[in-house]
Amino acid sequence: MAASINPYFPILIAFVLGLLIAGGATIASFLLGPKKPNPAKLDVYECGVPVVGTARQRLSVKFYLTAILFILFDIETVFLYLWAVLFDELQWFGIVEVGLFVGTLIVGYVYILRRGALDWD
Amino acid sequence: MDWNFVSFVVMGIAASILSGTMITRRRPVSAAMILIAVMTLLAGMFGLLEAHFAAAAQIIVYAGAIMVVFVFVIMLLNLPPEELRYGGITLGEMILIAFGVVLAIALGTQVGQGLLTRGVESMGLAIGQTPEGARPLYFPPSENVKNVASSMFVDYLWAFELVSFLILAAVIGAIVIAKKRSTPNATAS
Amino acid sequence: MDGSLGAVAQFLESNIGLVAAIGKIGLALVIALQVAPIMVWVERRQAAFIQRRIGPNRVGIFGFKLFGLGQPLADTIKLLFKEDFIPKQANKFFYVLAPIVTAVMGLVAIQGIPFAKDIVVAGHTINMQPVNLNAGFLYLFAMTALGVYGVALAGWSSNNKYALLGGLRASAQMISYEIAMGLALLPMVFIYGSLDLQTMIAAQSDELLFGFLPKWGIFLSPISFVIFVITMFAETNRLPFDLAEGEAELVAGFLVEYGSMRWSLFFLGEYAMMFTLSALTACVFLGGYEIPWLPQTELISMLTPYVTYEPATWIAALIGLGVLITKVAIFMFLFVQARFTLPRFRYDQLMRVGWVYLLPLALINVVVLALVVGIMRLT
Repeated sequence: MAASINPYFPILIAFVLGLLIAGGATIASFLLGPKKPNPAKLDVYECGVPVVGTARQRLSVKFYLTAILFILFDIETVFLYLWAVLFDELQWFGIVEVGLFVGTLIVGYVYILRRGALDWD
Repeated sequence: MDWNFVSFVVMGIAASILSGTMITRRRPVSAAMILIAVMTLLAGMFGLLEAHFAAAAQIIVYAGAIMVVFVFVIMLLNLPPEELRYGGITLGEMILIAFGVVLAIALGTQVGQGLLTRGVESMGLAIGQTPEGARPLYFPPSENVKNVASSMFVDYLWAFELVSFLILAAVIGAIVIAKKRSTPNATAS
Repeated sequence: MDGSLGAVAQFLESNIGLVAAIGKIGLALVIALQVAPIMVWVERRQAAFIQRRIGPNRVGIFGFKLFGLGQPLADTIKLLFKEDFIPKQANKFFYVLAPIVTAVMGLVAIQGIPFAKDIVVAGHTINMQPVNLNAGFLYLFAMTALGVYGVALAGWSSNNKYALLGGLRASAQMISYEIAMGLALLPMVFIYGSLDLQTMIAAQSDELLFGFLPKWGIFLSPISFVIFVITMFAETNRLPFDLAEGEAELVAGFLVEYGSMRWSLFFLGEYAMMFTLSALTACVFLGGYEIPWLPQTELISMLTPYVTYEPATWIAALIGLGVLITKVAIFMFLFVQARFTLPRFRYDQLMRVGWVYLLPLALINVVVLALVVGIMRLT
């Protein structure tokens, strides 16, 4: 094959083109739209009633817990993908080892369920 | 014109500059977004070094999961900028910055790197036994994912199994932290 | 005239990798940009037929009504000329950035889809997949993982407590279902032996299952298919999982402070992501661009008596592209059908389904398939 380019280069081209398209749409809208600023239009939207409270309030810790559990299971998934590509080479040894890995994680998952960490409200 | 080298240098310089910008931001969300950009640049650099699996895992796990936790925590705390401390630099911060500069010089030169690799080798944590009957696993360098996987299962098997316990510990720790305070005041969810 | 054409041709040939890359990316972008307008029309007409009415059929060009196909064009022009505002309490930089992030991620993710089998141009074989990494379809996972930030930023930067809540909820929903998505596709990796989508598609058409079924992923692992389709709905915030952006729930969720082109950029990104995930499903579970009982090699050998080899590959590639778009259209139809048939999940039900039902099901699916494939292959 004559000039074969680095496989990451198309990602860069795609990013740049995507940015141009999205940025172009934003700029086009900015240039083409009428400009009639009005304090009522620019106010916080709360179904038309005056705003109660600010947006800067504390939120539930369940989001944090969901995100942390997501990291941990994401890491597990990445390791499992590493096993999956070598499934044929590793044969039963791989299956057993990964079975131990997944078993430990299932223990953790059962703990999560029993503790009720995933109950939302 | 070696485009790979040029891209690598450009990405490296951009990542360094962005990291420096990140630590001087007043708004935590800006710092988090800049860190995501740095992680993406790092993933690009991994890709240019032909570490394809590391590049993909960097984005999936680091930029896509760990930074999500950062962003969630920042958005959960919802601190208005007035509550974040900013002001003059203290003596302690200056000492820390000097230490960071010394560390960067040490790691960036041959001396520091020599010390580092000797330290890692002496740990010897990750040596596993090649199982009976397993074929030797070597793939061409372009099959990076298979090479990483074979390395993980042949050389670093112990580390792989220990990771599962590490994850278990992290699960338990996260739940203990998050569930400890059953606050009576209602919070929005 | 001859000399300059020859020089251009020679330049193109010596940089064939770059030219091919730009061509493929252009093709993918053109497809992605057409998805949003067509889907807008499809949604409104299909919704109308489900609800026993007709839907938009008045907008036309030069008197040709075309079943209302002019409607998306009219909508786009209207949105372009609407007032572009930034709410006074919003964080300007991130408010503008959020829709751009969502749209760009959708447009970049679609580059990982193989559109056709290799074509041969002037002796060079070109892989019809714009982005073909060693990490295979993990590229698509990476891009969907980054797409979460568009939603979170939109909610936070609007500085509106309903938008923030909607944005965080939508992000939490997307990340919860990403795990099940990854685990659902895992068995396909060890069944087909590769992360590369082209290899998977080739493996699905090389022999028949039980003598008459094509060896598609949906027959080899139906539970994976079901789990993946469900997570696909959740990843794109579509009903029944669209609590975060549904009308009448938290107003419009994280989109409440967005108008005109910014709003349509969000939907461009969402529809592009729908297309990408549907195409991924088609490639992994339904044989991709291959016609069911007619592998590409047979198709090319059917064509070669009439044209030479290279144009035969191009024609086969066009047919392959058409087949892929047909399969994706089935899923897009399913998306719209589900939207106007099923009621919306409540948020705690939604998170429960993702963590308590789908995650263990996907894990058990992995274990069972590993044992089954292990027994079948290794004994």
